[in-house]
Amino acid sequence: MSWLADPFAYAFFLRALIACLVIGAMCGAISVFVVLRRMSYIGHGLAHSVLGGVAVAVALGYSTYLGATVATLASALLIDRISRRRGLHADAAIGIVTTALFAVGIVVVSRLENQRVNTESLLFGDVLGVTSADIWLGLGVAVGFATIMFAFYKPLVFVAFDAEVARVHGVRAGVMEALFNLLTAAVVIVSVRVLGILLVAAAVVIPAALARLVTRSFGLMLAIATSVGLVSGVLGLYASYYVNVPSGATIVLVGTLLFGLVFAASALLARTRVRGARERAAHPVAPPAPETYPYRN
Amino acid sequence: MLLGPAVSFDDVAAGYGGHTVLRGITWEVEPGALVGVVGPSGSGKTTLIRLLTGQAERHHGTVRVLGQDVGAGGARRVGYVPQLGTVDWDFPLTVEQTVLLGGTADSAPTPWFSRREHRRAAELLDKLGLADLRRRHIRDLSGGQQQRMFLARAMVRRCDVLLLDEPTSGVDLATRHDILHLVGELWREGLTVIVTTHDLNWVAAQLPRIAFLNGSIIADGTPREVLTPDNLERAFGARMQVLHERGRVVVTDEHPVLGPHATGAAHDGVA
Repeated sequence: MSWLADPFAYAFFLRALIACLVIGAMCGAISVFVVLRRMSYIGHGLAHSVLGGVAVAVALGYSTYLGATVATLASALLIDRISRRRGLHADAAIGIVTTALFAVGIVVVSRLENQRVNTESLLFGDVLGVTSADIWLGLGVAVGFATIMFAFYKPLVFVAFDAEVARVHGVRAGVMEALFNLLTAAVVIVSVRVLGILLVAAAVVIPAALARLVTRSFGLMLAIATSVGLVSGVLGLYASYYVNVPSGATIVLVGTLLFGLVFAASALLARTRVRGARERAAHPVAPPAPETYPYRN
Repeated sequence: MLLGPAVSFDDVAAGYGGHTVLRGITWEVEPGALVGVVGPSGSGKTTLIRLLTGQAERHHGTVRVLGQDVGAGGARRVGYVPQLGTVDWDFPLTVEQTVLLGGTADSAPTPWFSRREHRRAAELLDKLGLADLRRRHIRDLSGGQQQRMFLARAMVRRCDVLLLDEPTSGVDLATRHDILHLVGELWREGLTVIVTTHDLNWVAAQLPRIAFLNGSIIADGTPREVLTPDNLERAFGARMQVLHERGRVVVTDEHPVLGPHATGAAHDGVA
């Protein structure tokens, strides 16, 4: 089992592993709400807005995290605002807001001198670049995330199921929707470092999509999706170490592979059930014969 | 003890995005009444209900529930049963969980519900005949059972006014009977119930009071008073025949276009 311990010879691996565990769990948990609210593009969109925030922050001499946070939170709030307009849905709002911020990022980066923004690591992730500060930030977000999920679990579920009825029943649905967007934004910001802008979207969709194939219970779906996020993060990191490929891509590929396996298994199970039903219909079982007793002479 | 009306509209105009759907609505429902709001599609029935839940844009006038102005957050002690067609039936919830969610606003900030809340949900599910189905997924229920589940969710907060939006839309005859029976029971227990529907004969035959709506209240009273050919034409834009059969009011098409009693070119045109 030395293959498990060998990577820890490098100091960056422990930091990367902690980051993958934290990010995997949060992405998995938030993915349940993302998928059930049919907002699968929100991760994609919010991640794209990070580029705009980072580029503007670098140009103005501020911290990249500050830029990413402002851009992503502003995007989340704008998406929330626009999607409340009658006739406009969340997908349109995501498309408008976040693509515009991505475009801002491209324009600003092209005007920056000396390539001060590492667009490659932003787009595809860079697990080697995870610092202690990144870890602490990730852990802080994770604690906040867990606290909010604990305290607002019921209203978040109710609003995800039926926001209108939740509002009638006294739940502050608007606040919950904004809270969900802010949580998603926070998860995306801390995930971009490892997964990259282009791959975050998959991490906030695949775990819940997989979980939905195997359960019809919300609590179980949340547990499975969180576990899938964790497993994808850890296996993806090890795979990237041994195969020497970018970690963000391997984490997403592990998640996709798990989804593919479960999808195939559930399709097979469904086919077996249909075949069984057809066989039962073709050969109906005769009602049990009255009990007889074979007497011997 | 409430002395005034349970629900009152005073010169209300309302709609969505600046478009006015209802205007000049002045209407009251006394406590403990069972009232049907009847009108064709697009007549503003759902908007009227949404005014009571604080979801529709109010352009003018006041809406009061149990004597209190309805704000953007809706009114307390109001239970709401939405149209079944608006529900995501694949959402991973059991019947019991769905009912429990109705009490979220009054529940502790924990991911679980208390024993008392579980007991209350169990009582309601038992009362509505769903006790054996409480662990089932919501999709596994029939139309009537789904309506009963939402009634339980509406009542888990101990409401005084119950709003049902098209509860019999798209359900079979037996289910419709089942829902009506249940609504009647709840009404007899003292709840004020407002039901929207476009099913004339169902309303005429069953409800003690109906109001015709088509942008504004056209008529209000007992089915015998309201269901007249003139009112029907004003509300539905079509001439209809009203028959009185053993104390019941039955509305029929004055010019049926299909079937053995058909008249007119449409029937003749079928080769």
